[in-house]
Amino acid sequence: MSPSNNPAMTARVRPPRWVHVRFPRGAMFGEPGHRAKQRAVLRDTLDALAAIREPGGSLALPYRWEAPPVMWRGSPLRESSYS
Amino acid sequence: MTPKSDTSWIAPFRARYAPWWEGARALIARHDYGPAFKTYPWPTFGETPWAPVTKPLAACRLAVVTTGGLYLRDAQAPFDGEAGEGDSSWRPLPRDADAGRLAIAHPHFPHEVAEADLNTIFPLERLVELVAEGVVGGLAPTHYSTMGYAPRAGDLAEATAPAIAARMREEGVDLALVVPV
Repeated sequence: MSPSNNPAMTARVRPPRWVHVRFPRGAMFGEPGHRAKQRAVLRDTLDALAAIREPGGSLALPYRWEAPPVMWRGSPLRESSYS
Repeated sequence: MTPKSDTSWIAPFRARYAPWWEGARALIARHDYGPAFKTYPWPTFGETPWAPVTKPLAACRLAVVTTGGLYLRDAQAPFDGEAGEGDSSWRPLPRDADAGRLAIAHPHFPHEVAEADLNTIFPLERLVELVAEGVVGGLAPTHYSTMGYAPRAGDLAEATAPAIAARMREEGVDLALVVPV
């Protein structure tokens, strides 16, 4: 099982099961210090194990980044380029 | 049951990788990754691996694999984050290692979030909580890190991944959570 913030790249790698998370690179389970949200993301990710029944199957998780943008090489990471 | 791995892509990949690297090395040496990777010969896999789930999550032993470049600062060498062809080695991370012993050697992602809270790339503390609640059966004694900048995909497939998988089998792991960084 793998979380992915880059579905196009993940489709190339072809993991058996994955979930789409809309978080920037380096924050695959949500904001730092947000214990309840991290646990919810993690639980949903692991629950997808039973829900995905086909090789390469995926689910989209509903969570969003709720902190200031993460900067990378002088620019903010945005959802369209989170990875 | 151990699924059989498809290795048929490795030789064709390596045949395309060598000329790519010759053309890309100068770009990568000056950290011009965008143009360099526009022509990267991405591996083409013929199939998606699959192992059926045979037990409930509450009975599974889980191991984490992060590509965040984590290593034990007092016991392991850091990954070589500056190597143009990356670093495809791996580090075993004991389940009970204090988070303060973990350091990041991976210059290809912003560290600020992970340095504030390692659970964002290596959620062991959250998993310990889920085990205590009975959601997850247990955690393996060993977890793993690679460093996500590793363009020599054949090396990952032939050496890194089998070594990690072998250790997981020895430790009775049912489920791997792979966290790409």
